[in-house]
Amino acid sequence: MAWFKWKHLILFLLVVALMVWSINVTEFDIRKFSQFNNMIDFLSNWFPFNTSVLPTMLKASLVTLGMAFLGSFVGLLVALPVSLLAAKNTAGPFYGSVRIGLSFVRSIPEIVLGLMFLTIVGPGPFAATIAIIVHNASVLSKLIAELIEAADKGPQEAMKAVGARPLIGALFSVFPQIWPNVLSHYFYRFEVAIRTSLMLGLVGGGGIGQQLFVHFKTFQYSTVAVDVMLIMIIVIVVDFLGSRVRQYVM
Amino acid sequence: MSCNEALLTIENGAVRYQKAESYALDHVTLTFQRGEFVCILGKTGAGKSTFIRTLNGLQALTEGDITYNGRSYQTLDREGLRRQRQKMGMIFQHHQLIPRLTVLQNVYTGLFGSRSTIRNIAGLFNESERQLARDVVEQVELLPHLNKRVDLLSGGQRQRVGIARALAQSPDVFLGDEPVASLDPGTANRIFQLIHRLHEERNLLTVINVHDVKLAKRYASRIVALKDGRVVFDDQPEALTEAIEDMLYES
Ligand SMILES: Nc1ncnc2c1ncn2[C@@H]1O[C@H](COP(=O)(O)OP(=O)(O)OP(=O)(O)O)[C@@H](O)[C@H]1O
Ligand SMILES: [Mg+2]
Repeated sequence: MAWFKWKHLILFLLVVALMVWSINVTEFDIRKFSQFNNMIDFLSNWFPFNTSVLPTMLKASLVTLGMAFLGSFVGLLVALPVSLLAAKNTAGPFYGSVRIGLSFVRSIPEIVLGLMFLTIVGPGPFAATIAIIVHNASVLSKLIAELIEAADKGPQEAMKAVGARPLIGALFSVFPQIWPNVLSHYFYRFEVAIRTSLMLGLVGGGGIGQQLFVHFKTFQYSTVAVDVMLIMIIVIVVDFLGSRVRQYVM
Repeated sequence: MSCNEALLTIENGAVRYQKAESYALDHVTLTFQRGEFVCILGKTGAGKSTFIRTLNGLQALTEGDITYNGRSYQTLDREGLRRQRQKMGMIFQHHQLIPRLTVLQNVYTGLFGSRSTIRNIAGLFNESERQLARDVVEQVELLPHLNKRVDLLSGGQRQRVGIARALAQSPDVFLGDEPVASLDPGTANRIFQLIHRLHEERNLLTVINVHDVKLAKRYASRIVALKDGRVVFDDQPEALTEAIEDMLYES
């Protein structure tokens, strides 16, 4: 037992127990796949693609893209000033309360925010976008606040030394340093927002997500196929663009 | 040389960091005049950085007081202190420039203390400010690199940008915290020469920490040595004997 201690064995048994329990509660059972023909049957309904809906679905996809972009970008705009109030080194007296407020908002799942705003402003992409803004503002505030806290202290001291006012000092000594990382976080959040706006579509938030849900419920599988294809294209394109931009700014 | 009135005095100045058992700066009293080129010597941990940082209020004194241009720091609020500091250009060991900005942009930040927030954010600089920025870049011989990003410059060039930024403040005082410690001897000497020349041209008060006793002896008009936060020598360079040097750097 050169590599392990008794402690590790106990830990291992605990993990095994956790797995057994999870298999139980999730009704995890590979045998359920035994009716493989059902699956093939189901998938064969997807073909041929119902291309006649392509123009409408393309429009719905752009709505999803718009929700994700607006939601994450306005989230970023809100997060930039808020993060200054949420970082230990720039916050001043607000630090504690801003941090608590942010983690409170962050703890509300986006789907809950979505359902909330859907009830308030009615169904459609507007409610979903607001939900994405609120969530992303809180997430990005925290991420950017962490970047601000980790930023090199040198330029901050230099800005104090030239007699710059605190706000200017913080802006200029911190943001040029962290800007690439902010963009990188932003693009990641944009990608996540696409997935979120799909989810919010399912509960009435509009866009291609809602279309997918409707088509599925009404067994229009050849249209579902078009929806799924478009969704995959959006995700891949944004993913690709995001990684290119991140490479470029690094 | 101008009047012999004190420009900057520290009286019984002491700094004790939180949780520290002893004083990092132990009741120091010194008077500096315009035109003096003062080098601060002392081995590592002697309190040189602490001392320099108290002079422009980056580090508050725990006891004692500092007077600059006749104004006591004790009587100043944060805004008042900021205004005093604006007239003191500081040069750092690691230059502490703003990365990703160009030489010119970094020099512009030296003007921040004297301008409105709006104009600073908008990046609006009037004709005389633009001329000033170009002039100081020229004085540190970086005009060819005016629009180059500072992270692409060599160590010596970056330190010149640091000096230009301090010059842009139109300072009465130059403060330096080991501005040449990370440069090779040749570059270090040239940077010191530059600082000294600017000091003479503008009749400044210059107070600089140095590791290198030879540099201090070559350029200083006055040498102050610290040991354990206390002033143990304060005289002309010629008076710094080898025996005193040994005492300074013994462990
Ligand atoms: N922020 C701080 N908090 C606590 N103690 C500090 C702090 N800064 C410096 N000290 C302590 O104060 C003393 C003086 O430090 P200081 O940095 O002024 O010395 P120095 O002469 O500049 O040294 P060096 O030549 O290494 O730069 C040292 O004992 C150091 O450990
Ligand atoms: Mg030091």
